[in-house]
Amino acid sequence: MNNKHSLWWQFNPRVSSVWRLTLAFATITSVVLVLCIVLIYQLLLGEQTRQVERRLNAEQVRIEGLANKFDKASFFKQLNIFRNEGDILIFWQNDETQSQGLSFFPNDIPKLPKTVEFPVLDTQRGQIRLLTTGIVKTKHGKVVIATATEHLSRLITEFKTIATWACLLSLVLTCVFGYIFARRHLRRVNYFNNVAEKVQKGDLSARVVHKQKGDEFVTLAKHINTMLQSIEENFALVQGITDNIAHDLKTPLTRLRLHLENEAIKQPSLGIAIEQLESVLHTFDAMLKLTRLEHGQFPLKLEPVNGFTLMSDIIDILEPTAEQNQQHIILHKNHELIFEGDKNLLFQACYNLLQNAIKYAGNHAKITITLSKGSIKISDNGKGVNKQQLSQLTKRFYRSDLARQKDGFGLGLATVKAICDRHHFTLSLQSDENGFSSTISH
Amino acid sequence: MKLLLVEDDKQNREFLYKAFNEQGYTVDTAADGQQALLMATCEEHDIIILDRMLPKLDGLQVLAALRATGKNTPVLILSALDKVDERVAGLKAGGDDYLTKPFAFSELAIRVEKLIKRPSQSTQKTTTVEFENVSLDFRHYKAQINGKPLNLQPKEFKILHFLLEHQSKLVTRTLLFESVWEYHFDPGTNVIDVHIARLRKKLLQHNAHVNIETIRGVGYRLQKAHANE
Repeated sequence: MNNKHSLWWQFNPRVSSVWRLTLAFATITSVVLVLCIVLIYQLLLGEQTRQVERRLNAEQVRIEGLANKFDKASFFKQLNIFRNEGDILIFWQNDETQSQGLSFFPNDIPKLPKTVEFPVLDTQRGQIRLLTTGIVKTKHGKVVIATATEHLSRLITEFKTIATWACLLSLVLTCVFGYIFARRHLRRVNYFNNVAEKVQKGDLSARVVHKQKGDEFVTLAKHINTMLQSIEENFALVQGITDNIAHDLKTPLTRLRLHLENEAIKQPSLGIAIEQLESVLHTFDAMLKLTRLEHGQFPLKLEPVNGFTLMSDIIDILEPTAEQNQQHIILHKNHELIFEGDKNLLFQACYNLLQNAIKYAGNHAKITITLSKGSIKISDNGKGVNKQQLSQLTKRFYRSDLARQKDGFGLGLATVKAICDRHHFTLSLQSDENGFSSTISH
Repeated sequence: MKLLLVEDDKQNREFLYKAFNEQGYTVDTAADGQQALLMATCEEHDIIILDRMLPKLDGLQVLAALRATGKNTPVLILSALDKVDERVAGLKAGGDDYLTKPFAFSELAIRVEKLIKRPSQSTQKTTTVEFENVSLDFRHYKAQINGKPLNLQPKEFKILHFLLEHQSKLVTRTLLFESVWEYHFDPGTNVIDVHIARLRKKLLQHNAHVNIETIRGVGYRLQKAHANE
């Protein structure tokens, strides 16, 4: 159950940090790429555009010079000579544009150094040409000069298309490779996570398998393994110590118990001493058991446990005690309930809950046990506890004011909680004006 | 009946030696693993009581070595380690029963008796137990006092059955609980006392000539009722 929750992100590379880095990297790459393209554009094509403008301006200077030097007739004669040389086209008013082989001329041509670009049909060559033109104002009238820039224009268009594609492709490639890298990376991180999860579940012998030499993951794996090794050793050491304490303590206690028992048969008053001794031992064992449960050292023997049978058995044991308090136990079965769990531990958990209800609900109380789909609820109509106490109940050695008046050591609910946690079940406690209720659900 | 007692603690060993001797057993003792293995393989015993933690050779190693030689003597393991996995390991290694320290001698005695009886019990086909004027037919789940039927709850029946089987003997609470409810769990004194009180009341009401005696801290004993009671 827990696995499903923790694994959903493990196989989704989009939430991994590597993926976020990839996205950041892709953004930076794109910005750098765009900057490079703008620079190349400025250096190559921008220069060519400026060259065209410079040529037109030079031509303008030349024409203005000619206009100042010659009278009108010789000026146009000179222009006629010029226009047949080079790649600059020259037109003037009353001139036959047809003679230049161009289909039309726009009316709104600006004065140089401003220029305008427009397409026109070249009838001589039979193709559409792109002209960059401007007007030169002379004392003999307006002269239009133009130069063909279709090559440049095509170059610019192609450059833009290629640059756009290059940007998109690099972005897509960065993302695709980033995704793949993120997955690969994540698979390795997940492997570490799985090992950590095993350790958390109590398998201290779990280790990360790695190559002898390699990248930072191999170093990390080595460190983790060293750490786990020392934890395992310490654990074994502590385990050994507690086992030894148990052994060293229990051997003299065995002597004591055997002697007391021998004497108690002759002298019944000694029975009280044995009972006290047993109570101490009971607490000692309960504490050891609780510690082992909390640290995942308690191996579970999982089997299907029938909730109804379990509760019936417990009621069977505790009913006479409840009867002594004139309490009434009712078992409701709303649904078939099968737990996958350790029979003895689940027995203990449910036993503790019912025993608590009998102990604290008060005389003449009604105790209801409800088996529903996936949960066992044990509720009573006693006084319950206040909210502050409610959150403290599952802590070890916590005893409410009412509990202090009764036998016990405050380990019962802590043990129930530990058993539920060990099974990944939930224990919820509620208390209101109707009484106290505890629910175990899976 | 010959019994091999393996226990490293001198006082406990001596106490148990004396107690089993009084019960009519011939008792051999061993204080460490090596000695135990030697004695267990060289001589025939009806039962071996084996401590789990022993000097020189660990209890489980002794057991494994003994089983490897093909000896099937019933073995009861005594241990200070009350962990489920320890218990399982003990039984897996070939142990027949497991008792955690500190234990009551009466419980040990009954468990030993049970282990010795076990092989022959399957051939016995008795279905009734009797004591004084109380009789129990456990095949048909019928209890009678002076030939008149006694109405008992299923668990009361089981308790009475267990007590009758061990009549006049001390029966510990945990042993009773284990055989009646079949959970490995210690429910505490009061809970079982209440069950016993109920049964006792029923027996008294039906003029049974038996009484369930409670020996505080030790357990219960089914006895013949005194005439004046």
